Amino acid sequence: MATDNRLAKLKVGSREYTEFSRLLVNTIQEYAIFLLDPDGRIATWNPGAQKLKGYSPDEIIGKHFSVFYPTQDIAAGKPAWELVEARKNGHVEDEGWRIRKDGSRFWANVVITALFDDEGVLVGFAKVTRDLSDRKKRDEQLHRANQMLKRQSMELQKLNKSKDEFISLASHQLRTPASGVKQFLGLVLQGYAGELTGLQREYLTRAYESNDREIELINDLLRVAQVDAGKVILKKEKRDVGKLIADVVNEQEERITVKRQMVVFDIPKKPVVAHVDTARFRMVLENILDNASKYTHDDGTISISVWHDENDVSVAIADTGVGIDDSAFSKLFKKFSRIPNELSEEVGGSGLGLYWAYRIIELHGGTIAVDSLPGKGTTFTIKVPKESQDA
Amino acid sequence: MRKVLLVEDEKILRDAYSILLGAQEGLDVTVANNGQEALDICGSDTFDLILLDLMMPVLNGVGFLQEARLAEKSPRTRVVVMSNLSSGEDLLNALALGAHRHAVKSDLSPNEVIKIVNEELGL
Repeated sequence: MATDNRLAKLKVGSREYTEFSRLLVNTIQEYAIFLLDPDGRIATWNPGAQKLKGYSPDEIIGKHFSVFYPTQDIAAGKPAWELVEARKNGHVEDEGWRIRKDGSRFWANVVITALFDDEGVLVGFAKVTRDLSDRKKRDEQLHRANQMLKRQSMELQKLNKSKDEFISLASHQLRTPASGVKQFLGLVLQGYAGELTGLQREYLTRAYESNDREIELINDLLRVAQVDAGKVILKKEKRDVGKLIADVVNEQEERITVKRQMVVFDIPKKPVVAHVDTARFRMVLENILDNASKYTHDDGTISISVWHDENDVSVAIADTGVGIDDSAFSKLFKKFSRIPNELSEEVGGSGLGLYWAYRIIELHGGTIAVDSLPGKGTTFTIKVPKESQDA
Repeated sequence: MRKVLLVEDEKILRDAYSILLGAQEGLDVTVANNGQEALDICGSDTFDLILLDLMMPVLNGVGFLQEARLAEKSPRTRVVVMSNLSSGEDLLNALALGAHRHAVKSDLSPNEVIKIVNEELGL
């Protein structure tokens, strides 16, 4: 091609190539490019070298190149070692501090190449030096920023841990006075302080129940603190999920019966077995069933279905209750999220149950999904793997 | 008469449980404020049932169980840990040291406490 033809004349050793090289060395200001004699004394100089190191050609030619090195490097024999390496391997590359004429230092990238004549005799060295001070400064800033981020991260982890420990400690402490209230109100209600009038019984019962709600909240806080702190270790066993949910429904009878709600089951006759932490999985089911009943009016219906596929077991709890608006979906599983609806004032609750349920099912390797239509009802579907995921 | 030892450092609970247990026929109740007092009392007396709190000053519940060595000294004594801890090392240690049962105080109404007492005493 045309380009190749033109360049064909510019070969190493030609007059044109020598001109080209001289041009490069003499105009480049960003690199120090110069020659050393076989003993390391400076033989040539270029504008780049003057700019970088501060010496004029008169001041530096003939001097030994170790003048550019910090005293500790000279004492350690570094300059001599570099020449030896360059001879041995053809060239050597190094990064390190170099000293300018005014005594200031800069971070340099240096390549020293050994030059041999046709008989293999060393005729000198070519040295190319680049100032990487800017890059080094940026690297150091990055490193410092990185260290600071690491420290902050550790601080945050410590704070987070102490937050969980604080919640745990506080929850345990809070249980004591609440237990005291439960005992003394219980003593009165259970007849240990004489007969009660109807009104006394009614008011005391409300106080007793309110205290029980507080105890539930404390228990919820504790459970959440434990799951957040990563302290929950699931004790998994193979259980028939169909039977579990049926048991849970039986135990929850009270509210359902009082509200005259109907429970419809669609559970396979054969056991549907999954690997679950029985106590905790039951609590998740209780939680969701409780919500289904709480947020559904009297005479409503709760439908429970259990099914499975190759890998998972699913439980759906569907109600004909007040439903949840789309906009509330994203907050549903968050801590302390309580979505206002026509029944929420009567209902009470900590807003922690669903968060905990979600985390527990997540620990099982499963999922909880929600589907809802305001005014029509809500379905929660819990899915857990049949087999334990971990070893 | 069945002899019951109540070990509890919080006054409100100590009073509530004393009143409750004291009102039951057939129970002879002794009260200790912490594990050390309980240990001193057990030095000269044996009990059918010990209701044991875990978190107490001077000597806590686990410390009491370690020192009292009930398994050797009075194997027929039933021990129920009544604690507001729901989990943790202390609880596991207590159970390992011979406590027969654990109950969370804030979960129990007076009737439920009596139910547990009756079950442990075989009444």
